[in-house]
Amino acid sequence: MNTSTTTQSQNISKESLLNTIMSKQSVNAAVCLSCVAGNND
Amino acid sequence: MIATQLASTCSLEEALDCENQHEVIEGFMTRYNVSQAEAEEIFEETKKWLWLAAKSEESGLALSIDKPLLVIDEMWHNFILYTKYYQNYCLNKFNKFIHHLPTSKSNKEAHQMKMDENPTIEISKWEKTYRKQLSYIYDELGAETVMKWHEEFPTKYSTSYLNTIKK
Repeated sequence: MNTSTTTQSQNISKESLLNTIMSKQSVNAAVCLSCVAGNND
Repeated sequence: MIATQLASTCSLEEALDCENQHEVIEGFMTRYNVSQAEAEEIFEETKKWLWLAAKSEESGLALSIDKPLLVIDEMWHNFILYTKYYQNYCLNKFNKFIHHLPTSKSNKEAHQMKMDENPTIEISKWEKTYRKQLSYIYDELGAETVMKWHEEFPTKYSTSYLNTIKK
């Protein structure tokens, strides 16, 4: 029960944080990609 | 052999231990008007980003830097100037070179054209990709890093502010 509650709480916290950040980002972010990390082997 | 190569990224703790980092930090301070503590913090976050980039490849995810992470990108550019240190760091910590691939003007224009043609689809694609990256950062580095990279840093080191402190 405790484990389940903790997991749910962490998930809500994560979703909440991600939603907050997503809501602040404008679509401009999509056209402002400046760099991509990669390994061209 | 292949399995060994795939599981080649070091621990985060090891990635934060960078030889010659004082020179990289000093170099950043000669290019930007920031304090030693600020430069050290930005470099710490850049090492975390590089570690995550190396690790994400093993999960088939390519990380991208966008506007909120601009100051990390600037530190990354600064690190790359020290070609020998950067190469040694990548190979010693990740067993591979983490390339830096700037988005070209033509790529940006092509993306903008797609946005103009069908904004709904493009925004939806962006939201999916962006959330996936945020989720990955959260899972690997925690809420504190997500907040630092996407709230604290973009507020403190906005594009206009970075331009004013550039020497």
